[in-house]
Amino acid sequence: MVRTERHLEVETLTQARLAVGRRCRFSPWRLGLLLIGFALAGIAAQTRDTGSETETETAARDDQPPPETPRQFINAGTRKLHEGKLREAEALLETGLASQVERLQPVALFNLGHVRFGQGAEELKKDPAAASAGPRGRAAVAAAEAAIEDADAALADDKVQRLVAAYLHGRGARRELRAATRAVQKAMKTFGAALNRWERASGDFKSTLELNPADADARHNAEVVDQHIAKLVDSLKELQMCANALGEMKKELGDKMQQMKGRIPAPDMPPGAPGDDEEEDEQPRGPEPGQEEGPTREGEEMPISPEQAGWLLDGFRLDEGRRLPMGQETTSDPSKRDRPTW
Amino acid sequence: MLSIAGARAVSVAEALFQQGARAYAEGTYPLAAEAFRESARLEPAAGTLQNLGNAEWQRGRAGHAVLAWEQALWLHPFNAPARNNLAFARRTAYLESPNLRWYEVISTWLPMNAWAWIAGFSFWLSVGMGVLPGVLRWNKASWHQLVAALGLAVFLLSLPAHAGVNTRARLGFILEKDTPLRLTPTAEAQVVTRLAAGEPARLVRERGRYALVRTNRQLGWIERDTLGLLASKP
Repeated sequence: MVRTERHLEVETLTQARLAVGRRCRFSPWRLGLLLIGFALAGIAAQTRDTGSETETETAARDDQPPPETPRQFINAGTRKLHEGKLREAEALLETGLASQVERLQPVALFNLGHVRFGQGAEELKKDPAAASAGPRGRAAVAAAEAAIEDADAALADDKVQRLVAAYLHGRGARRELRAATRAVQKAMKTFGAALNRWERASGDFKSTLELNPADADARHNAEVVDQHIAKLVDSLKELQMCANALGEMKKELGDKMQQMKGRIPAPDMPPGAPGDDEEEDEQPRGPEPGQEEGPTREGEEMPISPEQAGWLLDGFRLDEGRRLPMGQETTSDPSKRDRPTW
Repeated sequence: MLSIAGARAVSVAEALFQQGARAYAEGTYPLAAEAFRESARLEPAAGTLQNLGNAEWQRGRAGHAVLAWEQALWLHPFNAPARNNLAFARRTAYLESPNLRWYEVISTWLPMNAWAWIAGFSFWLSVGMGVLPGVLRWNKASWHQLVAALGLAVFLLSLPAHAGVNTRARLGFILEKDTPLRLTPTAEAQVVTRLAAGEPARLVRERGRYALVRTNRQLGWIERDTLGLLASKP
């Protein structure tokens, strides 16, 4: 698990640096002022209601003025990270980071790593079926193999009833293949999105480490994220292989079914539901409403001759043949260096 | 000894220049570029840098070409061929010109060394006209004061140009195409955008092998080797 204790540490660091930063050297005057400040703060805390946080207080905290300085951006981003608002946290931390205040960068990068790791995990949570796509794909491949064997046997037997039964078996297997392919593609998309986020998170932790080589937490987190990435890459490879196997099976099963279709007489052909036949995959009833191609802007095609087309293409050709004018050939002698006269 | 060494460097630079010009005429642009670069390194000259830019452009290295032409203009602002080539290259490669501040624009009116001469001459003229009549017991004349005031005015007017030369010295150009602009000075940094070769960038500071640069739009880190500074030897 990624170490999250650092969140608290980050807050402490960013807040504490203002008051008790390690780099600050306190003069007696400063120390005196600080003690007075603490005393006043203590009195204020005593007089304030110490009950649980009310809705008004929560609203007041939400209505904080927008951050202006890099430190405020990073602190606001860290708060959003705690609240689970990852997108906002990422934007705020990136803004803080882009201001290029070097001593704040390791903190911002570390938290950005957390944000992006969280975003990757959220991507995976969005599609819980992604984890079962692999087994489903394998089951579909096994079913398709059984259907192909059945089809081979029926084709060898050459009995209409057997062929019809094998055809129906194949049809069911193909439907399952289609569903499994869709599931695998969706899972690959989900895993790809998560991988993208985690790779960025790993980069953030490694960058933190590069800026501050003594940061053990960043090292640990980078290792943990890399382990997660390795697992995800394995899963993606497995899904890719599964998708390839599904594609091959679909093709092979389609060929067998085509052969069986040729052997079964038309009256014995089983009635099919829409989408059962391979040809119906390609929208046999034309494009769906809303997918129709619109008319051209002019409304009609403009008939042109090949010569006219050639002229038009010549007009659009990029001027790749253009050479840079050798200016010194026209205005000065290239064989002379004109040396600085000053 | 120094003058002998200097003369030898000049003759070597001249020989390299001629070698580069021959290679350019034969169409062997890489060889020409190397010869011009070496010649300019030994003795920086606007003409050599202009030809270096031409050779680099012919090699397809737009970033190096833009830098060389800019350096030619840095040494000799009246070099029209370099200016024209630069304009052509920027138009062709869709590159932006650097955003110059007003005092930087003034500094481009004359060669950078000219400003030093003008400032030095006007300052000492002003001092001389103010001090010498008293030291040499000349009769005080109003034209002494006029020349001193004029010298001082010229000196003061040249100061913004000096500031411009100073800040332009941190102006550079991206040398390699698709140079990643990073958010942090680290190997695994997030890439904010990719910069085209020849795009202007101001050096803000350096950290390790990375340089923080400000382009016309963004601030970020690039690898130091991918930035060619205007005020650096080729």
